[in-house]
Amino acid sequence: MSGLPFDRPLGLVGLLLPILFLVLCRRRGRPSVRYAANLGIWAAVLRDRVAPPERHRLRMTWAQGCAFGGLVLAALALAGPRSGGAAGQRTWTVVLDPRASMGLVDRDGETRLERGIAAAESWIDERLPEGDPVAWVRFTPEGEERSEGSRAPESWRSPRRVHGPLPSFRAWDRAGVLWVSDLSPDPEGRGTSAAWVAVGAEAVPGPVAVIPAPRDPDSPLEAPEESLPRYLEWDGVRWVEGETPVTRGTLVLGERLPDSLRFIAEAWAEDRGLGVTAAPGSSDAAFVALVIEGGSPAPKGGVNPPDPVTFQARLSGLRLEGRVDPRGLEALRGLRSSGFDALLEARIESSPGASPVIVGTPGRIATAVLGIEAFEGDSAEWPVFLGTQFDRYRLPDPELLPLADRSRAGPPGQGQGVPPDPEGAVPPRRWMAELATLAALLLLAAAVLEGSPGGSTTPGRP
Amino acid sequence: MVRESRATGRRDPGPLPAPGVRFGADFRARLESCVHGQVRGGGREAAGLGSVVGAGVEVEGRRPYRPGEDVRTLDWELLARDDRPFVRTLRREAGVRWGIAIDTSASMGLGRPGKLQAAAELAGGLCAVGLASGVEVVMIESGAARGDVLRRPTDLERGLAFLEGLVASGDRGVEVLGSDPRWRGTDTLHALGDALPSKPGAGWPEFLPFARPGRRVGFLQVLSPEERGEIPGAPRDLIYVDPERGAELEVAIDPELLIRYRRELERWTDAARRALTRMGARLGLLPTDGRFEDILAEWLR
Repeated sequence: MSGLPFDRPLGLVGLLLPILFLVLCRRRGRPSVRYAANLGIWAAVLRDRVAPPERHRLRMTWAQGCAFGGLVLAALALAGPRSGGAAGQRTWTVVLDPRASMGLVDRDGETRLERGIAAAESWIDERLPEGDPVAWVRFTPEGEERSEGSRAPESWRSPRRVHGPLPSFRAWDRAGVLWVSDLSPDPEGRGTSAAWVAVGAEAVPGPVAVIPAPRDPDSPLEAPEESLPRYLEWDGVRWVEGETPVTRGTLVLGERLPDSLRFIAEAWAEDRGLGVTAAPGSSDAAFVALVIEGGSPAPKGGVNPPDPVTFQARLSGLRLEGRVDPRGLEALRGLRSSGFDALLEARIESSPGASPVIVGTPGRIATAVLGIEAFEGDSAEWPVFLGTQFDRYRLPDPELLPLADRSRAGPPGQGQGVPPDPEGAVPPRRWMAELATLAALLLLAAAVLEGSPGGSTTPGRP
Repeated sequence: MVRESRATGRRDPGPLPAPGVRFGADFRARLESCVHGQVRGGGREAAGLGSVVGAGVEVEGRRPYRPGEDVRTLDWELLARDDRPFVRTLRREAGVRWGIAIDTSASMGLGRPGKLQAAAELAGGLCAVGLASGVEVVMIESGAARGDVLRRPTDLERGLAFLEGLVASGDRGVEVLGSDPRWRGTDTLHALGDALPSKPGAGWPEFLPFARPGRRVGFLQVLSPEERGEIPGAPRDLIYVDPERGAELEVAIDPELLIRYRRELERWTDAARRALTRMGARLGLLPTDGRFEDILAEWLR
């Protein structure tokens, strides 16, 4: 702890009171003026005195000392000092784990996210000082989203899947932060400063992998219609082959996607058991696994589109040359700045440097390529490269969760009961009650001393 | 350390704490009780007043002795003759006259209880006892030299009213009344005030005019507890201001100094006693926190 933080620093203004008291004591300590008829005797006494007269003005009586101390402590109590925890820490942050496993439903019918939020809310109620602000953080495709209040927003209680790289807990590893996660106690294998609520509890059975459809040995490129991929499921004890086929995702292809790319994408989708559609929601599939857009953007306001330009790019074992749409290149640069990865960069005719011609983010790929005109090397590299990117950026089956995620967070039946780290987010100790009690005792002592003979310094008039 | 402040006016302790006199509701009952004890009480008729009544007392008659009475009142001749104990009853002769001089200077307005109040209560007691004994009482206060003569017991109320009208102010102490012609014919003179000699060993010439042949003089010195060195509380600094002359003195009070003060006060009162004795007078102490009945009984013994 560095310094002494206060809940109500304005209360320190109360310290003016003991200062005022000291000033008054000083004034009271000044010689009191009174009448006396026997100055001759006093003069004789003082004349015979060897030592110089001692001054008592600055002396403080026990009663005054107690009163002064009591006032100081009362002012400090009013300011609400605290110790322990992080110095100056006032805002508490609850970070929600965005991984898909937080949506797993346990035997009570609650998701891990719901249970974790409930645990965090009761932790806030029981452990945090009343009035301390609380911020909730969850992760979205666009970044972080925050909400203030001791309760998580209702809409946050439903799991929302976040694709792409998981946010780093390292950025939130500090005192005053409470993680709600089914990873326990440390998702990244390090010591933590943050507190955490583990909600993994017992493992949840379900699909953990996909068993590809069996291939015809005579025609391995074509899968039999009746032979569909199935889930490899974990029933809590062992792996079993699921009865139902995997959920068919959908590949959504943009209307202006060049035919050469559309052909490769459709072939990839067929191999992966995905349906193909031109618009999201038009398929029977349960979810959109990937959207691929590209080609020439639609002309605006009757203006003729610019002519395509040539690009040159290199893949391992392949050099290719083709055409790109200049407006498409501009759009890709915008996507790049909003977080899309550059999947393929190329040299553009009459342009310095390299520009991305294909960009992607989980669930979506965009390209400005209009077509490939020349290959130099193994031309198969081009569809292999594209298929690899499609695999990389397609969204996983929401039903599918690795066994590690299904069985995280402690032994079965443990529930959520791991307390927050006392070194991290444990609330600081408040000293107001102790100080107020001590102040009251001192003021009482001052009153008693003031009332007792010899305790008062208030001179009475003879 | 002693310096005049009247010129600068820097020190102002405010009004005097007890400048007037106010007799309590029970004061007259206390006076009656006092008179009963001093004058009408068994065996105290003469003995209690003997030392202050002085000359002018004659034997009025005799009555049988009652156990417990002062044996000094026994009629020894009758006892020797009849072998029966009788006591003599006394009657004051006409012309027995007391004087009561009361200091009403400003310093008498000090003290808690007030010094003037204590002096007035004792003076009231003297009036009551004296009038009940047939004594004529002359009272004079020092401030304006106002006075009154009380001749009969019925004059007591007037005397009490006179006392309740006293106000402490000014710097005229009781010694200014020493040569007042209204004392003429007084057998006994009681002076009540807070005066002291100017310094020990210097005598007390201011009191000489009170002394006259055939007159008993007694000075009751009125002292408040603080003036006796009884100052409660923690050590502190005080500035004492003389209410009559404006001189002031800064004193750092502590227990050791108070002890020295009490010793010095004793030295001064001894000097006063010696000076008065040389004049044929006597000194008594009138503490303001004492009961006037007890002090009166002691004074009249």
